[in-house]
Amino acid sequence: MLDKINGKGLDFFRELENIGAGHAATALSMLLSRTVSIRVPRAKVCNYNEICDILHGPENVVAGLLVGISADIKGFILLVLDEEDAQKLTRTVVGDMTDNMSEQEREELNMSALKEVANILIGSYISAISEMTGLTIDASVPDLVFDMAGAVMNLLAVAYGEFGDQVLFMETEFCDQEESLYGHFFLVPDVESYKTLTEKMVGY
Amino acid sequence: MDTLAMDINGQGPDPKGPPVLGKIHTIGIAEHKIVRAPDRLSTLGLGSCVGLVLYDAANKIGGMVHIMLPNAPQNASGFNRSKFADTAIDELIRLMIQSGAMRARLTAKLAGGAHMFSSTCNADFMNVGERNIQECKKKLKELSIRVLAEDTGSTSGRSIEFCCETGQLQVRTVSPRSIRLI
Repeated sequence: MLDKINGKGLDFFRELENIGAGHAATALSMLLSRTVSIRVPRAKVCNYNEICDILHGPENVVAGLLVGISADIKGFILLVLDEEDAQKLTRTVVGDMTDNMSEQEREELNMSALKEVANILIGSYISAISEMTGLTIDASVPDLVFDMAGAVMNLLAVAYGEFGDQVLFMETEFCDQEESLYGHFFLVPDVESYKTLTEKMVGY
Repeated sequence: MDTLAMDINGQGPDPKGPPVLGKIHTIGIAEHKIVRAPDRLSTLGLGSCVGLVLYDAANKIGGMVHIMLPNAPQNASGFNRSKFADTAIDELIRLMIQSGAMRARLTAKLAGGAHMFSSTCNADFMNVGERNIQECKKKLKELSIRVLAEDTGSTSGRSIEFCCETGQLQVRTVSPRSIRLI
């Protein structure tokens, strides 16, 4: 199934990611008042056991922020940050607001701040893709977990698992030079939606 | 370096278990492996996937499979049988018997099947952990293989390591940080 994706299809997906992640990076740089740049997006069809390599192995602890997408395209978008980077990002947003709070209150505020950041970033990612393709895409409220990269990325393997031993891997890395804060966007359309997307490819 | 990190790297003895013996064989998603004592089997970062171990305690032969989905596609062929609960267990049994294990002595332990994200979107898809566990147990029951221990469900990812010498399965989680033997 996925092995039918050709070079042109992958180029189109890279362009989608480029526009999506580019808009998200702009939103993040406004939020942080600093320059945030994105790396060249990756789009490839690979074996599911390769997914965790770019996240420093399956046991590396990461923050996974998941937003389900629906309407014309179904699937999800996953934003993954190293645990440390997620904490840095939270600190930048929350600042000294939590100084007089109890441990539990601080934890709650940090989690909700990180979810809000994800909401803004993934929201701009989605609206950019939606504008480019003319497709309607609705997003769910973000869900946040801190866990092993393998367990978080399991979702990607499961999404394509029924259709073969390979996954459609679409990833863009963003980076804030000053804080050396890295993050990864994964765009994971389900198999039906990937067809919808490639139909939009005509004209690009 | 804390004890968890030490153990993950296989560089130190597990404080709660026997001294480290043998080689560790790590398997990936939808892979399987069969080894004998004193070697150990491991798989890392199980989310909704299930790590299933079958063990012949007399011959000290252990087999592990990293199951990803509950059911194999109908009327299909040429797929990886280790990926699906309903085909992976049969396959593992067959290979273990080939390696000298005795069918009647096999017992099972399983870990994983977590519900990583609580999203209500795509409920069927998000439920895959729970469905994996149910299908594994159903299949084991059909085959009259006793489940000696399990550490399944919840919302935590797990890494597991099975010791063919002792028959113990070590389950590690990072959120919350814990190591336990089942």
